[in-house]
Amino acid sequence: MIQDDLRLRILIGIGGGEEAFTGLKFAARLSQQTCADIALLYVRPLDSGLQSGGMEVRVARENLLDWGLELPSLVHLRKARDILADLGEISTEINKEWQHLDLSGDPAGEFIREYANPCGGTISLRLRTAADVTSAVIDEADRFEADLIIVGGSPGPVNGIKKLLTPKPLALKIASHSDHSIIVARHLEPGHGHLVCVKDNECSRAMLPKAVQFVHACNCPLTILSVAEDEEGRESAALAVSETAAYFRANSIEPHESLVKIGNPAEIITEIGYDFSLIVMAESEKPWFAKVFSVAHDVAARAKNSVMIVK
Amino acid sequence: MLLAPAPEGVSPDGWRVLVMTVGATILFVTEPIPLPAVALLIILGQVFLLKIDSSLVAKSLMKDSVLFIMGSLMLAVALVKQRLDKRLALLIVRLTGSNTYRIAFGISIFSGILASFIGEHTVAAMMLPVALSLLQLATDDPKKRRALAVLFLFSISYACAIAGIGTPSGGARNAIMIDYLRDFFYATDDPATYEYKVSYLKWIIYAYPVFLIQLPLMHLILRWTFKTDITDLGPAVEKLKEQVGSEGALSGRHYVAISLFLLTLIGWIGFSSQFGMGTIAILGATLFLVTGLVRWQDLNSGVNWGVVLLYAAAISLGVQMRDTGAAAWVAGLFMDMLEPVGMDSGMGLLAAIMLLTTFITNTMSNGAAVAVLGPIVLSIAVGAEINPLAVGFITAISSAFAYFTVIGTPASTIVHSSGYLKSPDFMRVGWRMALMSFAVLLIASKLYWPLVGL
Repeated sequence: MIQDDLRLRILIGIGGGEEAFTGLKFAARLSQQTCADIALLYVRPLDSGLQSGGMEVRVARENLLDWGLELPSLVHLRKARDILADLGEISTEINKEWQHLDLSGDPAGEFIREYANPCGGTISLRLRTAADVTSAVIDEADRFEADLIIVGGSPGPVNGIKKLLTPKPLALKIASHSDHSIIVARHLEPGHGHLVCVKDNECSRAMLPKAVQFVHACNCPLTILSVAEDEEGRESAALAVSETAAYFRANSIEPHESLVKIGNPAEIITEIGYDFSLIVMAESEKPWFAKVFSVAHDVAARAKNSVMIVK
Repeated sequence: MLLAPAPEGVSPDGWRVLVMTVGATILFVTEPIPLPAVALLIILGQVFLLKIDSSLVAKSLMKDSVLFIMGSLMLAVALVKQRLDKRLALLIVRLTGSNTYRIAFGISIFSGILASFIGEHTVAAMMLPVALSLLQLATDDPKKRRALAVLFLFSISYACAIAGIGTPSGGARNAIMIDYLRDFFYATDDPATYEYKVSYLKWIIYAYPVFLIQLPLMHLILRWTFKTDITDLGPAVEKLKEQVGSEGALSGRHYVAISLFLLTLIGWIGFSSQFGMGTIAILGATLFLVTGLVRWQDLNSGVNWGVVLLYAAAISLGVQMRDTGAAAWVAGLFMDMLEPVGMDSGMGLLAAIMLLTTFITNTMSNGAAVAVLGPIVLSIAVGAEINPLAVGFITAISSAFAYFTVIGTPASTIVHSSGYLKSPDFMRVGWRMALMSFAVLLIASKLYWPLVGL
């Protein structure tokens, strides 16, 4: 039995499309190693009264409840629950009812349903209503004291004029604003290994304990990469790689491979990282509005696979 | 913009009103601040920028159309709370049988006829669980269920949208246009202007056939666009009959609710010219309250009062658009743009107004679109010497052509909340619906309205 304070606490945002569901398999893998507490969250944006002609949409939602129909958001959560049940994380035989939480005063607003994990952890399904989805996810992560947030990213990178015209993807907004480690999930299949990207700086060193924790939890093969922008930086990059490898060895993890490359960090990390389940990077020290210019957030935006930003 | 000098042809007050209107429209569409705050800003702007006495501003906020919006919203919540929707579901499947497309058409007919009298949000809220129940009972396959959902949910929302123009009580936009026509053109001492005081029956004569013609065409478009593999819902219909049938027959409470609604309807048709549609709507809502059919708490939480305030402020600003000459100036600009392409008169102008309204109504709610556009299009009618009634009807009716976006109509917003519809679905079918509606409305204005004296 794992002590409560050692258990990973993972919050998975459901509702960002199919990609979010791919994060479930990864969370289950982590849970098998650490008996994690998992919260599945769906945030429904608040309705605009003008758009519904002055009659609150909640009237329609309450009517659905009167019919005994599940709210659409609950259907998403139930789908996520079924996936976890198929993965052996929860038993659907334990029939717990939805409980209403009075956070916004909306009777069709917030709900929670909890299941026990066979190893002693909890799986909770959470429905929130909020004007701003980003803030709600971050608020829920704070309440849940999450070690890790998993949110679905856009299936592919958005480039060119489309990037200028479309709003910033929700996953990247959450990644910028949250203080919790986050995975922007895309085709998140565990088993292809972790690519831990490091630099010879304090931020990178500071993420290593958590990176070790996640690699341990996943029990995935590890590759370490450091990218120098030019030849002058090669030595520093090599040092970062060797220090990181030593740190992982000291924590009983033998790196599968250590790489040092020269070039544009975001491009190289994205290219090499494509073959891995997860690219792991340290959070930038830049403020939230400038994070888009950091390598970690640039990789999260342009990668075709999953990226973890460790905070 | 406020600090810039007023352009030639518009008074300083008119320019300020225009700036306020543009600002309010941007705020309607983008919603960076709560919508009721936009209403409050409009009120403050009239007092501080236009130097209008605050009592006059307050007076201009409360019109019959605003009373109607309040009353009809309360009636909407009251009706949804009666749980008549299950009986309605039973009636629909009994009449249509189990064929999927017949059920979809049945849903459209019932949704449409009801929405033409009681407001589309009411009907959408009542019909949504009917459709979702059938879906859940029909199949567990997510793809098949979504295909069915798209067909059924658009059958509700588009039927509600095209029906909402059928009678004045079908939507706030109609009441707003009736108010504008009366405020702008009606004079008690001039019998020649009496035609601009549009009665409930007169509206039905002009608008209801436009709805009726569109209804089967809409069904054909949906059937053609959203084909489904499940063509028979026999088992689902039987389960639904069992579920609903187990609740027994209509109770006395249901009969009272239906009677009160019919009384309200009779009041609108027979007495709205005398007492105002708003008064009748308020009377209906009051009767629901005093008979205990609905609690005030339900009405209070179900109606977004901020929206009522917003409509009131928008209409008040519309009146200022006319009084300051701003509406006439914008109308002149619009006409100047249309002149080179030969659309500044006759059918061309009506088509241009229809396209303008369709564009605006897809970016904001249809009531807000009519509130913003009303003064301008009626000024265009005066400038182009076209019957303002025809322009008013074209604007009100085409404000229902919000087929392209989720936020275009209340019914679309409500069915979208089911989680089954995606924004591209609206675009996929919306252009077909829009072309059909354009054609029907133009043909009606050219061939039918002259026959009935317009």
